[in-house]
Amino acid sequence: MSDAAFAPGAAAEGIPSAAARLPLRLRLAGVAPWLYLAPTLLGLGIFVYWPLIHTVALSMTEWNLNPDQPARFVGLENYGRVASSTLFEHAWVNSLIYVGASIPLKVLAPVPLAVFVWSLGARGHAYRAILFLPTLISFVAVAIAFLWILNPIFGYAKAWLGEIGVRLPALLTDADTAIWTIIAISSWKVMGFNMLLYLAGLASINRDLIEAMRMDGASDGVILRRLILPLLTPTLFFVLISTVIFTIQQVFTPIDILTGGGPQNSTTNLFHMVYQYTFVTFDVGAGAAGTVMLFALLMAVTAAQILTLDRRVEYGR
Amino acid sequence: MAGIALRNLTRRFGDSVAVDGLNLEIEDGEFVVLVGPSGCGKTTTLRMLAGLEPTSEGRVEIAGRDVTPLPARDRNLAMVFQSYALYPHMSVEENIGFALRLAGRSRAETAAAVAAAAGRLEIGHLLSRRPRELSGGQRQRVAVARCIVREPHAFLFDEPLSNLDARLRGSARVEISRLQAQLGMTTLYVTHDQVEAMTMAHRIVLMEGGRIRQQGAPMDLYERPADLFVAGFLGAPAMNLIPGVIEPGPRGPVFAAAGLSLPAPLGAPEGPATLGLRPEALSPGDPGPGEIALRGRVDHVERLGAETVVQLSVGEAGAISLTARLPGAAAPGRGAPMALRAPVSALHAFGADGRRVALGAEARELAPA
Amino acid sequence: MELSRSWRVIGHLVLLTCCLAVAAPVAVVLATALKSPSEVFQPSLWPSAPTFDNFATLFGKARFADYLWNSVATTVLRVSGQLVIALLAAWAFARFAFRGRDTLFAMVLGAMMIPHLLTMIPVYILMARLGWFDTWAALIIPNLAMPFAVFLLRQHMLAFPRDLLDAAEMDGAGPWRALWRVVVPNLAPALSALTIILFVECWNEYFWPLLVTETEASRTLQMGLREFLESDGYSDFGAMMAGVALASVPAVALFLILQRRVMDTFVASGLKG
Repeated sequence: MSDAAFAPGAAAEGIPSAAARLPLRLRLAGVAPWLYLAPTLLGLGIFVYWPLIHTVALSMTEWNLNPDQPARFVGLENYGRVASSTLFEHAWVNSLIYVGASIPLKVLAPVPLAVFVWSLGARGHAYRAILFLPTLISFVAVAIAFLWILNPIFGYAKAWLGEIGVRLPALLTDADTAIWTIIAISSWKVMGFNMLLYLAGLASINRDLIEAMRMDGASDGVILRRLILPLLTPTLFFVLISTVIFTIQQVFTPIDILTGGGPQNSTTNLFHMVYQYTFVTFDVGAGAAGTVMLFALLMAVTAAQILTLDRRVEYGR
Repeated sequence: MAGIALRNLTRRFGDSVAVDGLNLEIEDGEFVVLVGPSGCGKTTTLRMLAGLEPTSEGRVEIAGRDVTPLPARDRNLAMVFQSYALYPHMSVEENIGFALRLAGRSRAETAAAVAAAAGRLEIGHLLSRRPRELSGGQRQRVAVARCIVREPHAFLFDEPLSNLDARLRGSARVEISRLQAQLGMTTLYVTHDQVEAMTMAHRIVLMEGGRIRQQGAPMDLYERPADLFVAGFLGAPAMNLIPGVIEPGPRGPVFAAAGLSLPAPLGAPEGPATLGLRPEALSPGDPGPGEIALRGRVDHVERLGAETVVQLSVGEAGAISLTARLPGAAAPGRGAPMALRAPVSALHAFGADGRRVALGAEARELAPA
Repeated sequence: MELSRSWRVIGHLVLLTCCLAVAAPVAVVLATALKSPSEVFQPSLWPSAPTFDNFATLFGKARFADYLWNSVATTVLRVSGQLVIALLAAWAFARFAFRGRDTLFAMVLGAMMIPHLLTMIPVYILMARLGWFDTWAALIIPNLAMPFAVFLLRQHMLAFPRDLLDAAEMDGAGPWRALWRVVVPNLAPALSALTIILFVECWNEYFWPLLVTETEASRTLQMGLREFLESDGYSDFGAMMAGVALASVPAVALFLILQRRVMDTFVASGLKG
């Protein structure tokens, strides 16, 4: 690879006497890549890596976002305070519910759909197009649309369910149903996209292999179990990892629009908790501590998945 | 145009050496073909000359000036790539004129130069097309036009005909040779095809293992290969190489192999040796004076129309396989016995080290009078 | 692969149900948006007399003209900046050999794994200190360096035909001109797909604008929706749904124009929800 990136300046290696006679442009060639990289490195340094460190520092202070008031160092106190709060307890349990419910709905359910669409070949394109639509619409728009559809007085769902004699409960204001409503809406948003990811994984399967298995007398079921699903496992792990991150992050939007974390913290998650601490109650230290805990959780999830990936995904192509 | 010199040029990749202390001078206007099997270092050599590959050691001189530290864009060389490397997003005209535009020439000047180059290669009618709309032969012409329009110090060709079908390859060879002569282009041409090397080169440089095995005019290499490798590489079908031993006999030294006993060529020293005999040196019939006789059984016959290539088993238990290239289509069928003869002067001998042993007329020329 | 008949029927039924589940809310939004205020609270699916009154409300009473302008302008500026910056960085990684390259690339990949939510508090404080609050700068600048775009473009550049780069070099183009005159024109498919990904991501962004926008000076359409929901949305669902439709149109339109390509790259990129 170093060869593919052969730089003209490298031609001078071992001939220092000649280098002295080079035009200025070539003697500066070593600086060039840094100039190309500068905007990206500055951007990532200032807006990603430094904030990451700053967050850790903030998590050990007490501060209310007021620039006139200095932050006070309090050590690990914020972590204890957050961890023992009822808000954290709700957020933590709910996060597990969100992620746990995501796996069957968002990760597993699209697999048979994708296999079926794939078996249709070019005739499946219409399905692909329609199911992809929710990916493009912003989550705010989706959430507001469902707010209207599920409106307990005037909503379409109420009218339609009324036709078949079912009474629509107030899904979003009931602490028992609100979180499941949000899970259903976020599944609506992401299922088609995950199906497309599986389709991409399926597209890389060499159809000759299927023909070969069929020549050997294998039935559809055998082909599915012995060939297609094993070859799909790398994609499955990828979908899993991206769905977990999606669920932790993006569910913020419907929570914020639909329930604001309530009723009685029944729909809040760790992200929304951080938001509430930092930007609603201006408890920056607690918000930062929550962020660091979230970071640790994300790292753990990613690491666990990378470890399993390494073991399971050898036969990628 | 200008002369080129490569001095002690070396390229290492980790522990392996792709090009090993290569020295080569190309005169102004000379057509040098660098030929060898794949992995012999010929392409690396070309790329180091072009400035596309860093040199580990040694120097590249163009027109007497050391250009080793300069990048390719400052060497004023033009190159025809194996894939032709035409820019897919540009028309033929833009492709040919790109270098001139980069060099800051005006639109009008560029257009005139492009038109002249295109005219010379008879692609004037293709100027507005995109590369993907061209046939392989047309692409090759555009790639050549892109080079000549720049009036560079030298032309570099990297296996430029390997993507053409056999018929086009023949006419492209003629065309490149003609163009090279007309323009007096200093040319380094890399190929693995010995036919291209034989037909086009003023001088062939045959490489193997990162070193030059032999260089010289094509017929010199063909008639006097310096070693077994060169002997086997040039010529199709390849030279028959028969391993054996030269030992004393009642009427002077003989070459013996698998029950075969032939009069050894004049001046060959005793000991293990390899005898070389080109397929076309063999002809059917019984030997006359100054000829050797070989008897065998026909294994396989390939009739090519104008000539016939016959594979025979010779010697005890048919242990030696020989190829003969006979004019016309007349040949015995498979399994038939066949008698062949060859002039002693056509024999090549190689010593135990693989080096050529000077023989016959050659030896007499070389021997002190 | 041919499935047996009964499985095919079941498959089509399930997929048609899914499609209906996707299409029904879309139809409800469009229908409500086109209804007159008097009809909004009646459950008939199609408006008896379609009207654009609800859109007029958005642009009259609410400040949707400002929001739309903010969304369009910041998205265009941000996406163009992201593309240029990512092209330069990707070219540095693909074209040059320099000390620390692999480490730096690993840092870029690492940044791809770090979600915004982990960095938002310090960046928010930084915006406040710089006085960028409620300005376009706050929406554009913190997001200009896009690790994912660098990664994707670098992959494409590494797969770029080596001979073409060599030919450009022989023709006298240095790295800068080779990038803009040879590489970029030939990366058009990847670049247009990437543009769409970045566009959709920026256009639909919710959390960051929620933190740094305050008034119509910088509020984007998505924020406008939220604002309208909190002020009038519950009483004027017709205009609310018109806003939802308006906010969704650009991304969906792009999708309809470039259907296949969008889907293929979304899938290839994999990361964005």
